[in-house]
Amino acid sequence: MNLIAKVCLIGDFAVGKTSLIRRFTESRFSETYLSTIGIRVSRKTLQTPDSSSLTLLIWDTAGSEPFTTVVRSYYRGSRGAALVCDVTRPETLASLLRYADEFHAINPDVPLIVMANKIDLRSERAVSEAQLNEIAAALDAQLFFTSARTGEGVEEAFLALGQAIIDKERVA
Amino acid sequence: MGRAPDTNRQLDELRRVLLKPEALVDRISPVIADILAEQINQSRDEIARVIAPAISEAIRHQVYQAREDVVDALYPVVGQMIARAVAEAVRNLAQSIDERVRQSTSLMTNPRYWQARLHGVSHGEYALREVLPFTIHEIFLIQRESGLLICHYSAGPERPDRDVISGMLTAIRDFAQEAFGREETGELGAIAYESRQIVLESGSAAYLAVVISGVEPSDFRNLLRETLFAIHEHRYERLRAFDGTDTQLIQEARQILRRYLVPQQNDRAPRRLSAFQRAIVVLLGLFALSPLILCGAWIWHVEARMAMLMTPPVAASIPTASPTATLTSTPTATSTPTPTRTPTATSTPAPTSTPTATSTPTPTNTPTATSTPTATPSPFNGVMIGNVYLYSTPDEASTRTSLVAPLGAPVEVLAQWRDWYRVRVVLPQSPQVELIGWVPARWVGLLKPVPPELITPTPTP
Ligand SMILES: Nc1nc2c(ncn2[C@@H]2O[C@H](COP(=O)(O)OP(=O)(O)OP(=O)(O)O)[C@@H](O)[C@H]2O)c(=O)[nH]1
Ligand SMILES: [Mg+2]
Repeated sequence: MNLIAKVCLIGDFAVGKTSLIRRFTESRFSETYLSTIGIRVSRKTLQTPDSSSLTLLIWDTAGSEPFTTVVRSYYRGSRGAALVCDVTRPETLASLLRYADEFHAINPDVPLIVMANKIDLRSERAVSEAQLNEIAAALDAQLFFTSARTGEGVEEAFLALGQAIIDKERVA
Repeated sequence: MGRAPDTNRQLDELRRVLLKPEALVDRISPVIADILAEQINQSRDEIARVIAPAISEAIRHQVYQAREDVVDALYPVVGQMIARAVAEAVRNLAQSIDERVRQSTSLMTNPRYWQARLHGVSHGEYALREVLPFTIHEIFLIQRESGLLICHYSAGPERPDRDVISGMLTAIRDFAQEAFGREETGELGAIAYESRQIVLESGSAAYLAVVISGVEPSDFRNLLRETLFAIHEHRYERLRAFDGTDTQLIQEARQILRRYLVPQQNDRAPRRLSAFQRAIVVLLGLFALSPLILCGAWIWHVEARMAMLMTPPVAASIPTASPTATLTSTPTATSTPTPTRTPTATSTPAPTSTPTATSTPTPTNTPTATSTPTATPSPFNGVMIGNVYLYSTPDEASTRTSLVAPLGAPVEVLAQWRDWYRVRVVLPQSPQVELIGWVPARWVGLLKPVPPELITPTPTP
């Protein structure tokens, strides 16, 4: 079985969405910040244990223009989403609820995960684990602590999203 | 002490110049131009570097503030440049069309040419299309909502990033739709880049993006719609639910794309022509062969006539009106004896005679009891191969007959002088009338060579 699924990465500007995708698909990281304009689509194929595959087409949205109809139109047809926040900026966590609402309004019942990014910046961390757990629970989403810079937790997060999509598919 | 007041006056003057800007300007202005000129001469690059930003800014400012003036100022140059470029492009196009039309015989050897003609494409249009060939480079069938690639065709080698391109194309489509408002019913129809175009046509569950170059045929969009319709028919739900696992759907879609859009090489069975198309082919064939058929018919006609003339007259020609009178027994000319025809002897050729039209007996037509079949060969040894007048002398400036010696009329050559024949021509429609005169040899088809004794060194036989 070769499943193909569109997933979106959503979250405020500069939380590290593009960096997480680059780390996952190209195993690279860049310190420079180039804000995403519009959309960028990447692809990564995952092998599942039962030797079938899942190709993720990952839509990297622009955090600098959230909650516009244009961005909402990019959500259409997604089978899952990763909500990304920056652990050094608490406000980026708060807005995840709104992103989830908007996303679920277009794609009800599709799996979500939360990626708490930039955990390598330990000294600057401004969000507690409890807060993150609370939000993740509210969204019925798995929580992952990630660093696009070091690569920590990135692969696991995307694999979990892929697995959630496959599980959903099986149930359907 | 005569100097002191002088010095004071000079100092006053200096003070005035220094303290009053107008005075200073008056004094410096005359030399400024010289100083600048000298400075520019000495350090041209330096000056350029210093004033370039200011000039750029000034131009930019002027473009925004007084666009009309700038346009007016630049028009003579830019307008001419554009005109020249356009003229050049048009000339190149004209040349290549010209070239193509010149090679039109090679166009016609292409089966596609005739196929196109059958479909009503004019020769010129076809030639133009050949100059600006229309090529389909790639076809994407994309799930409308998600942008997932359902199937893809490429004229060149398959590239691995096509699913990502599909996503991006979908994003662009979505963007255009959102940016220009959902209430606008239209959708993004095409994206152009360099010489290529991505033509987009939307179905309810999937859309087509076709990368083309050249000028698309006028019914191309229709074809895309038909293709989408064929793909959607009975497959709407499967298209909407596509997640890569429905390989059957991919196969079916691919087949439809092949059938409708993919340029055919050898993977498609030759298309059967409809009855109407076949009828047109037959008509076209007949039309193409018509000169041959006409020629053949004409030769047959002449041969038949000659055969008739060469046959010795049959005595007691069988009257066509049969003795057993039937209701249809309309008397025909052939069966009506014409005793009034008086044979004349005036048909003797006279060297200077004006061409004559005299009545002669027509034994073949008069069923007289006396006429017995004789073995006397026919005097005719040629046939007219054009409608021409006869002349009194072998000279086109001489007097000519008032009647035309008609095409197909039997000819008796009475004499030959150079490439002129003196002939006796019997008018087929009124055999009792004959014309005698000179005619250029090219208008007479000889069935027998002219006997040498008839060839005369002078025009007078
Ligand atoms: N230290 C650290 N820096 C990170 C990490 N992830 C991203 N960055 C940096 O954060 C900045 C923003 O990263 P992006 O990936 O461009 O952020 P984004 O969410 O795509 O931003 P938008 O496209 O504007 O929405 C960049 O300078 C990255 O180098 C991380 O895990 N650790
Ligand atoms: Mg980005």
